Amino acid sequence: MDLVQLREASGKGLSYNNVRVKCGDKAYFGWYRVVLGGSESYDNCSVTLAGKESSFSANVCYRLDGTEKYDLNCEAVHTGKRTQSAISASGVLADKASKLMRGTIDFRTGCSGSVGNETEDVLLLSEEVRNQSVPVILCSEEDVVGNHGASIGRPDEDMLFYMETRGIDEATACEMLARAKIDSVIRKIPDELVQEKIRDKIHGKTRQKKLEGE
Amino acid sequence: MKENKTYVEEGDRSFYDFRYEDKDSYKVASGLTPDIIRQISREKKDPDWMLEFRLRSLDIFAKTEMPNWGPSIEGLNMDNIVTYVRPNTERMHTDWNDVPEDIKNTFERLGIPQSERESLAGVGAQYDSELVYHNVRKEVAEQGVIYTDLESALRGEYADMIRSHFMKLVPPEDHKFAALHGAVWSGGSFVYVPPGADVEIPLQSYFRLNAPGAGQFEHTLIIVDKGARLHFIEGCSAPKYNVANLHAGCVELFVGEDATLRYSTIENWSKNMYNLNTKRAKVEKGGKIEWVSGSFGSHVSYLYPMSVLAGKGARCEFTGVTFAGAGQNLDTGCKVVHNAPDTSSYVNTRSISKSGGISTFRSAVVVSSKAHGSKSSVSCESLMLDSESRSDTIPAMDIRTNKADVGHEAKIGRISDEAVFYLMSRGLSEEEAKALIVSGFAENVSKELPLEYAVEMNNLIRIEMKGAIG
Amino acid sequence: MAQDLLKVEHLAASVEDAEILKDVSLHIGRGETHVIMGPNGAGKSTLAGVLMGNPAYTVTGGSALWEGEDLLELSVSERAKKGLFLSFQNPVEVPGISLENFVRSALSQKTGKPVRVWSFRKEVKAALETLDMDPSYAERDLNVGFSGGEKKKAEILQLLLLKPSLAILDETDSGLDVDAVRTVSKGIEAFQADKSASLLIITHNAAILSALKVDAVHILAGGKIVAEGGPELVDKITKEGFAAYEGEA
Repeated sequence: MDLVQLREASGKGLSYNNVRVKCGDKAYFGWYRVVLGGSESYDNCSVTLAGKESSFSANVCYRLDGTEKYDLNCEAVHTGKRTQSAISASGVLADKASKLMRGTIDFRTGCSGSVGNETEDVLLLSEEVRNQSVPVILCSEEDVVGNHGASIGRPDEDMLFYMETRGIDEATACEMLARAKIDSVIRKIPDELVQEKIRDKIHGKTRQKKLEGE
Repeated sequence: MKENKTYVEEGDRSFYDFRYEDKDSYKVASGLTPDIIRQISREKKDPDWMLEFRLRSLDIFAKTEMPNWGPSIEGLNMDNIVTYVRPNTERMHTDWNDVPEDIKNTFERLGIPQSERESLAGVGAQYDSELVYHNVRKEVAEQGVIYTDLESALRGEYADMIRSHFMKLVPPEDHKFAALHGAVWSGGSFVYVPPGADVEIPLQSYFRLNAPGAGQFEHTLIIVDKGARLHFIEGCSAPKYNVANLHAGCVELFVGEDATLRYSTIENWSKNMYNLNTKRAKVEKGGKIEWVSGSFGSHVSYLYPMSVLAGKGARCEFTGVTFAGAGQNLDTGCKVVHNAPDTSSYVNTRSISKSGGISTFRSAVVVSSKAHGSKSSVSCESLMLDSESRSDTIPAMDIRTNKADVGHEAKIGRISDEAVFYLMSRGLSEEEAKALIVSGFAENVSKELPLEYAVEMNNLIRIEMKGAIG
Repeated sequence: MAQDLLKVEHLAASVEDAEILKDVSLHIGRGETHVIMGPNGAGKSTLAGVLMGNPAYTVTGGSALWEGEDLLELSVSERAKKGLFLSFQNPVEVPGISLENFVRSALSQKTGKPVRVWSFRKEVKAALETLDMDPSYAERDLNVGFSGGEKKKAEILQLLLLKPSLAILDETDSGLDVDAVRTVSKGIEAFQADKSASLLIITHNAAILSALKVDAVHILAGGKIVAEGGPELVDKITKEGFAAYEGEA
């Protein structure tokens, strides 16, 4: 099954979201989480891949401005054989936003033949953001493959220069790249209608921000 | 298809496991009280400020809690640790021939004098908390390089310099074992490299623990002044005992502007050691610290060399390998703090777990808001040799500015069957093939070490990997 | 009123500590097509980079004026908005942004107004046809997974859509097969159709120039302009190579 969760850009609420899943044989769970704002968000997604050949894919994207905060804990616990997990988080931090992500791939003894992948990339748009990342791999099974990678920072200088040679100044270029990053995750949602709805909400946020700025 | 599991047994460590009868050694009563500290201080002829420092540290030690994270150190009972043992030599020796026979033989068997003959600048040999032998080659002395034992340096012309640096990077307040160290530290080296000096030959120091229940608390203080360059090698070994052994040493490295310091270590403490060492470096503008670290021994290890990049353009490179075998819980890693612009760090570690060994890689990269233009790249690869062992990777990144680039990657896996098959098809036995693969895996470290150390390291790997196919 | 669009006088520039450009002077008027040829390492790409404002290069001497105004004082995007364009030898990949969206954003940045979607789409389609490119390229992520030839064509596509006053083409023909060179040449010709459009073509091989109108040819060797002339110079180089000029470096 696929679960798509969206937190919109509005206001001062505290959002606490807890997703716990256990997968039986050959089961698949896909988690799509889009966080477009909100003053504080806390997410926990724990998936136990107990059944043989079960799999889990987490696709998270977030865009935080102002003093928004996002705390995400995502874990894939592999106990069954030949299970697979793929956790990926892409996000943008602007103004004074902050984010903490703990991603854990846990290979328990007996989960031979399993594969776990975790990637994270974060675009930092302003000086006062704070990003904390703790990608963890725990392993007590020999016959597994685990990978994780994280890339955090400003947009690639070469890319910015290229865009500038086309007259797109740095601030606009960064915004374009930020939007592209969020969109890259939305594109993966397996339902086009849902994709459209989410894109509408994003435009809503941009319009609202413009209004607030004027 | 399930491949045949190789039966692997504990390798033959007897080459390292020899010891001498403990005679005429002066022992301090076990347990730690201020009186014991005063006794130690008196024996060492500490200046007053040092005695006060020790007593203050003891106080902090008593008030600080044991760490509640990491491998268990329940097997360590401080009341049983004899903190100070002095071997039966009265003074320091500058000539190898004057060193007492049994002490000399220990080093002889471990190959120290040979290295000394070959192009090493000087050897400081620590035997049971006291520096026995020290010899600084003329050339190095001519460059103005000071390499001496720390205790006597406290009373010499560099006393003030030492006082202004001693335990400033690792203050006793830092953690319980730093406090313990501050109270009972004993022995260790002091190195000062004057501005512009380029010390071509590596300086090395060798530790040895011989008495049952003795703890090692040596302190290494290295100051590399502006534009200078030094390679320092720390290598150690200890015999096996049934009583717990503790190593709570401290290494403080001050790298000046545009200076370079390479600090290489092979830690091969025996399998009953609790290795709670603290190593820290502070790097000024344009300076560079290179850590090369191979961790093979100890029962339990907490080892996270930390680098503070305090000046613009400062750099840190860390290359490490950790091998955790049966009964070992090695918690190692690296910590880097970027606190100035244009700093960069590059961390490359490998770890191997076998026979129920537990290897944990724990790292932290902190990029402060002052560190714009900084870059950090951490890469950690782990090899699991069976399913009784554990390998955990717990990296953390805390970034407080957008003007920095931080990347991290980690991989975990097992020895590829195809690779083993390929090597076997070329005539190697399964055991040799695996040993070769693991040596290749650890090459990131061995290629950074001087030849004799690389050889020792590969020997260690072979010993660890050796087994009978059954 | 300055007749020259771009006036470069005794320009010198270095990268890291190496001095690449030593003394380059060049005047390009509206509607003119200039060609720069020279052996490898002469500094041709450096010149292109310096004019565009690539931060990897440091100007160590000389000047460059754009319609009488100091070009070197302007930021990269300001130069682009004034009408300067650089077609890269090896353009970077920009994942997540489609070719169409990218160019549309660039255009709206330049004019300050949003671009009309429909008429723009038609223009894109026409330009793609001129370059024998499949219409699907408009929606693909810019340069991602494009072959060398496709990337070059995509650069020329941008040229046609952005309509700059002066386009610097940096070795657009390198690595292209004969057909691709012909197609790209067609694209450049279409650009030249606007009589006020200027071009600075950097190449070390004459194939791309065969169908184009060329007003002046400069030979750059060892960081200096060592010879200048008309289109006949191209033939001379094709026959004799650069040997005669290498000594002057």
